[in-house]
Amino acid sequence: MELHAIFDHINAGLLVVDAQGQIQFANKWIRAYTQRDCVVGEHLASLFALSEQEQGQLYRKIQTVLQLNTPSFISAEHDHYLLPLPNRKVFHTGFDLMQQEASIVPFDEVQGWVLIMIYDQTDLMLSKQEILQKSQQLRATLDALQSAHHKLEAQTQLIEKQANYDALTGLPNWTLLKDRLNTAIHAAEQASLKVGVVYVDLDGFKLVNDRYGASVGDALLCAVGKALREQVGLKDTVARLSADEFVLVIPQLERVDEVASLVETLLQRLNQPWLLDSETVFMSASIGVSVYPEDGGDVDTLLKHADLAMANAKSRAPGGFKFFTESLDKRLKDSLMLEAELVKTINQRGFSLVYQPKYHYMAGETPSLIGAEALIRWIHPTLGFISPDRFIPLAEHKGLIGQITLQVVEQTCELLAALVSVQKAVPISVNISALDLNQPLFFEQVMRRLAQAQVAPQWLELEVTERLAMVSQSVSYDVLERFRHAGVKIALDDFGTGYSSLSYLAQMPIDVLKIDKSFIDLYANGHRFQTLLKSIIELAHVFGYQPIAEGVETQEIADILSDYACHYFQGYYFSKPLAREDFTALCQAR
Amino acid sequence: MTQTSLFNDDQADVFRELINIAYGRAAGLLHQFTGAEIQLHVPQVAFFDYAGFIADIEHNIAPQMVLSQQTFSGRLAGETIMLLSAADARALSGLLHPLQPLQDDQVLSTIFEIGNIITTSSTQILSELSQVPIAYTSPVTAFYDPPSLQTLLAGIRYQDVLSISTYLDIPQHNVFAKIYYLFYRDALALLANSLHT
Amino acid sequence: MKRFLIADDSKASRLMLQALLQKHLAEAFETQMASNGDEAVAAYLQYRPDLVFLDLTMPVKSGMEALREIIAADERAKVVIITADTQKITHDKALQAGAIDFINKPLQDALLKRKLEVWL
Repeated sequence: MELHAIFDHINAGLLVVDAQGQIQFANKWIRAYTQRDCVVGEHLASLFALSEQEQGQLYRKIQTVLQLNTPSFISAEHDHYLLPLPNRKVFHTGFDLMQQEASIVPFDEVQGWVLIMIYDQTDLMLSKQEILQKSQQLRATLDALQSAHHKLEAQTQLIEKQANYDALTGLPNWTLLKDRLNTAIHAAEQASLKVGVVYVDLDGFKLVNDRYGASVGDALLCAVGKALREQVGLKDTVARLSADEFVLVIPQLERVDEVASLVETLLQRLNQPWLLDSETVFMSASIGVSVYPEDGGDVDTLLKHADLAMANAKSRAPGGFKFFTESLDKRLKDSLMLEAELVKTINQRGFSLVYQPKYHYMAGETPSLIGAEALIRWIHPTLGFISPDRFIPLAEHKGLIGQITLQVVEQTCELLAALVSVQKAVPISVNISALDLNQPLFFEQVMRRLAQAQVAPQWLELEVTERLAMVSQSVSYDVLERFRHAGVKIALDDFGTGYSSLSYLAQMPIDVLKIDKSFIDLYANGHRFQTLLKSIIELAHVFGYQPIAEGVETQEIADILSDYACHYFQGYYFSKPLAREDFTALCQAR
Repeated sequence: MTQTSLFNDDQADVFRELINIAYGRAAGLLHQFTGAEIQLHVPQVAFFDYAGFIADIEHNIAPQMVLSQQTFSGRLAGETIMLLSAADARALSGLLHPLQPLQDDQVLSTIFEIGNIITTSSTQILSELSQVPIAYTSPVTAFYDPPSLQTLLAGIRYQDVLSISTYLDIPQHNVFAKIYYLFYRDALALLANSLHT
Repeated sequence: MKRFLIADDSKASRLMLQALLQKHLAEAFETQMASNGDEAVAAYLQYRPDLVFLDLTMPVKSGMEALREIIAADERAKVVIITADTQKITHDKALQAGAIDFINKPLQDALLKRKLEVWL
């Protein structure tokens, strides 16, 4: 192919120019760019709109290339164009960078010609711009799609919500309830816990609706839903089943009485008047409760039983509750009632004390009275005798024990005051709970009662069970030491039933070691236990504690224990617990 | 501060001669463009660590300087630096554009051109010698006050440099610029090998 | 025997020129070397060479000054300037000062050969 033809096919401008800048050859590109058919013989400066300075520079550039015989480049001088065309603005706005590149190379040394090559990137830039625009359009489309997708998602969620939630109250509906209950059952199964299903029916809702109208009725339902929701925890579910029925799911239950307390609270709230739209509405609710796993192992059974329980409650009397399992029902109700009665009795100071005498005895001698243990008695007007085993743990659980202990201390101080005044007093011990020891002001409260009764501390003793003394060791020890320092003796009760190591035992701030009845009873079981018993007594002596045997019921035991160097006794053999008058008489008879 | 480890005396001599020739060619062109006589000086070849080079540059600084920097790359990599006072730059510019009132960008444009001629000439000869192609970029030319000049120089990172310095000396017009050629170590090794005469 | 004086501060240049002379001259010749302007003048006066090759950029005394002094001492001295300086004004000045020729470095083999025939 001829050189000219090759030059014409190149997608760049080619100009052959002499040392003075006169054009010797121009390829097709240049002809098209300048829109001139023939430019040979013309000067660069006339073909392109170059300023004088630019002309000078171009000329010097050409000289340099020729004389150094090395390529060079034309630097950018204009707005985007190296070789701008006269009288024509070939302008593409938006391009900040140079669109043309031009280099000059030696072409013919003899004639002193150079070749100027111009590469114009304008088209490329245009394409780029187009691509950029298209890309932006695509981006916009994608964004639109995404936002549509989000809308769709939101709508789907809304539909789902509507499928699972009651429109009026916003509470979960039947579908979601069953789902939640199912989940709760499985979880409880894994963890060996319980689930409570509470069925709440609003008595007389229909009447309210008829009387006050649907808007008040709706407002009532929302208020009820809200009130129920407020009473339960985050993991509990409150669902609306139908017009006037709600179901609560209480998962992860450890003990059933948790539900019972909840139900009582719910009823209290529900049975109060409701203020809606300036209407005061009276209403009551009936509640039925079923418990997993006792009352059923699956969703349907539990719900059915809760419903039955509720119907049962309603039929008896509106505004009440019933557990599905009878015995459970009874027990829980009793427990609730007992708690209520306990509170009443505490407030009314309805407890009484009996006193079991303690004796010093050696074999062959007559026992002598050396003290007594005060024991609390609760005789309820309708329930009769309630064993301390029953109400003391309840009191401890409900945080009521402190008041009971102090009342016992007060009554004991009262008796001691009477006995001291006739100089017939003996030390009386009072049982205290580890929870008492952890009460910040317990020491002060006890000492105050002693002071108020004007009884010297030496007459009071405190008995702490071994088990509970361990509960908060450091705190308990400090308090006990304070008592001892003040003159109040400390006895470790029920020794043998706890877990004390020997080192703990050695360090305890106690004066008396009460050996539990169960330990004494072991004696009958053979030689080994007899030796053990003897060793315990010796140990007590070694540590400096006075041993006293509890629950001694025969002389034989008393003698043997005496033999083992235990000379203090408490038990039915010596005396049963006595009422105040009888004990007072005993003291005076000494 | 100076090391002669890469070049022995003979090699340094040849190297100096090459720059002499390169600069001589540039001077011919500059004479042609300005009409003024350029006084050639014997180029000084020295090895500096970079701190030494900076000390050399800062030896004679005016309140306003013009610096033109042009890098060349490839296996023969380095840069040329042309440094003169702004006043001299204006005078030099006036030689190229005698009829125009001088604006700052024109002054810079002149220094740009002249710096480019010097770089082109030099790299061309060295490229011939070492048979290695050299590419160079567009010069960067600007005005500097001493603090900004120091900042600029501090930013350039050479470990050690072969500095060949000469002067653009136009006594007639009291123009005096210092020209530096800086080469990276690798380039020096390459050149040293090529100068194995 | 022809005597040449080569004055150039670059040892390499001197040696190269000497090598070229050896290459292109059939007969034997002597060369004296000078490395600056002062030495160049002194060497000329001492050895009265047939041809002087003189570099321009030299320390101590420039080639141009040396040229003037040599011509002043001997107006028929044949001095050829061999220089890197390509400026026209330098060329004009040198010839005006009495140099018989002016060649740019690097020396081209063929050119030197031709020139030698002319000069000698």
